[in-house]
Amino acid sequence: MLTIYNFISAFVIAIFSFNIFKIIYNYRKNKKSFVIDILQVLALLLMLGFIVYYWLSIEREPLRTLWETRLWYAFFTASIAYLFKLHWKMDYMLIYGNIITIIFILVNLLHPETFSKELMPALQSYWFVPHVIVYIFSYAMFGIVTMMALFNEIKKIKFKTSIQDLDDMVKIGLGFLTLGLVFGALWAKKAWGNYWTWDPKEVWALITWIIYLLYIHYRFGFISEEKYVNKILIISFVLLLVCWFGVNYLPVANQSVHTYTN
Amino acid sequence: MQPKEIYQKNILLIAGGIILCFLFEFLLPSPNFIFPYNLWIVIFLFVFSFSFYILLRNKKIFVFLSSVHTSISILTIYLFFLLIMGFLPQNDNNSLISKFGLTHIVVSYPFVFISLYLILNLLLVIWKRLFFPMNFKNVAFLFNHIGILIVLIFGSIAGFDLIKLDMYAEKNKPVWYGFDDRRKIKELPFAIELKDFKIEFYKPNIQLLKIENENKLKLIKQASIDKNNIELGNAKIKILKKVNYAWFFEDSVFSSYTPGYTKAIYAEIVTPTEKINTWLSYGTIAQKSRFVRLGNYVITLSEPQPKKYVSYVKVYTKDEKVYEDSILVNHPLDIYGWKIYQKDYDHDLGEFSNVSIFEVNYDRWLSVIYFGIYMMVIGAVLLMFTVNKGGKNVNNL
Repeated sequence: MLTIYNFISAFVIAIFSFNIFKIIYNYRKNKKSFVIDILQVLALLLMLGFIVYYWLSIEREPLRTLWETRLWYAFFTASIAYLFKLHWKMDYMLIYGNIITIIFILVNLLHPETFSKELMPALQSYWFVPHVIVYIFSYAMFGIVTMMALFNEIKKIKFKTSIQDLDDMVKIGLGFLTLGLVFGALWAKKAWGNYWTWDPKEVWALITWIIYLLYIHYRFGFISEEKYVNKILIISFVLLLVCWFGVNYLPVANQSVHTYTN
Repeated sequence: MQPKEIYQKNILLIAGGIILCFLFEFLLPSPNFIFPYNLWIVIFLFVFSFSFYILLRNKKIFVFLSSVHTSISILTIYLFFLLIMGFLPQNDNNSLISKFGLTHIVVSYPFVFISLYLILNLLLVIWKRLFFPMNFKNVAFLFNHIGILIVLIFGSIAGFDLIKLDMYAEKNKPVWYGFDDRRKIKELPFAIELKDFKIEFYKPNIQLLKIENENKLKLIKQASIDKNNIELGNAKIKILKKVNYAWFFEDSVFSSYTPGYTKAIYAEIVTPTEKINTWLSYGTIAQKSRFVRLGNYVITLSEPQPKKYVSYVKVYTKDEKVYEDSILVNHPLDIYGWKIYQKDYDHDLGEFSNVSIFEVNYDRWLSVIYFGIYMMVIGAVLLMFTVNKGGKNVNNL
């Protein structure tokens, strides 16, 4: 399994890196090329193919461990970036998405999975897949948004995104984040008898939700002012990462029931 | 009103409120709004905010309290409390921070204050927007905000009213009571008799662990014991024999299906430097685990994890109905609004366990909260459709 993953990863990283450079090259020469699309779709199909193969061989929903969430995250980020590229007709969307995807594939290569087929009873629920998938999808949206905000902040980089586009992506991300939070609550009621227990992971999920809620309200309250937009988005994503990976390392970790990710 | 003025006033108001509430927290017992007082508070909030809207909607105070800048101020402080909770373990002790409520934030006066302010702000905004023209954006707004308002209000008061009991059911002995968190007995309007308890386990895995330090082993790799030839890191493992219900007496192994058995394999382990034939097994209540140590690494079997556990029960209700059903994790039983959850079992005895532990709870506000949650779901979907076309205002490309 790991050998197949390593092989596919190497191929996908090569394609995505090539696409990033090709887009920059095209931009400088003022060209367009179709090869980017073909390669991007090919890489996405390879990733999807691996996920399907992995799902079939692990004999449970492949969404339990952090390694598996990163596997999906890499796929979603690259896919979303490609969809927005098509929708907005902006090649440079792929730069953001592909950079994040490459980072996440590299992290996964550095932390190999142990491929346990076990799935504890609490996770055997029809809420499992929708809950995690909508969360990873929204995290992927926010990942791309954060890359855009970072590029906006760095003076040397010429690719800049308009704030309106950032707002739109945050709204879509927040929609999915809300669904993830709410599905989690409905599931928790079924599994543990309480829809909300202020478990550390829940507290951090709420923190993430509220910071993006704050962003939307800030934009509503100061439509013409854009001073803090990029900074808020970058801080928000840091909090999101604490929720996703960091909670396990905080002093509150041993109070959490979300320990099956370890 | 200028945003700056709204923020200045909010800083004063919230800071004052919170300081006062910290004093309350230090001096008074924790707030406890049980039914029907909580319902009165809710009705009061609705009536008060609506009359506020009707009578004062053109006044400065209404503009201030229903402003988005007030929402931003409140959410920022709310976030601040959540961050404390996110870093500080919420266990009460006798320290000073505990006396000021920082180790039980959700039931502390300052948090109740900021939540109430948030609810008031939400209520006033909702009244205001209810009388706006109903375009798509406004409908999305109302679904989101009313949904959150309902969840926030009724979720907060439900915490005070929730009845939550542990029930210990022994086989063939009907139980009609549970224990609350102070170990006090509470009678229930039904009885449950455990007829049978079944548990399935996953097979143990063969694991390669690294000794990080005296107390910590890190899992490096694992494999199923279904195959006979396994590679774990440098070690080639050949399974020569498997015993399902193993008992070890010194180095002899016997098979007996009794509490405390272990699963064992006899394996040939070949590394670049050595070749070992050995028994591997996991530890149980009656037996120690058997492992092999290779330098800084250990190879052993993992303890089997539960796959599924079910309690088969007979339910007796007050109106003399008797029926049989089963309870498992993620499939609670519903008896007249009481929910019975499979919580635990006797881990030492595993499948020989004669006891099943249930959690029984009753939440009178549940259907209201679900209504709010469904509104939030619709609101979240609508929010995604409020986005503009996008992709037009890009600089430099």
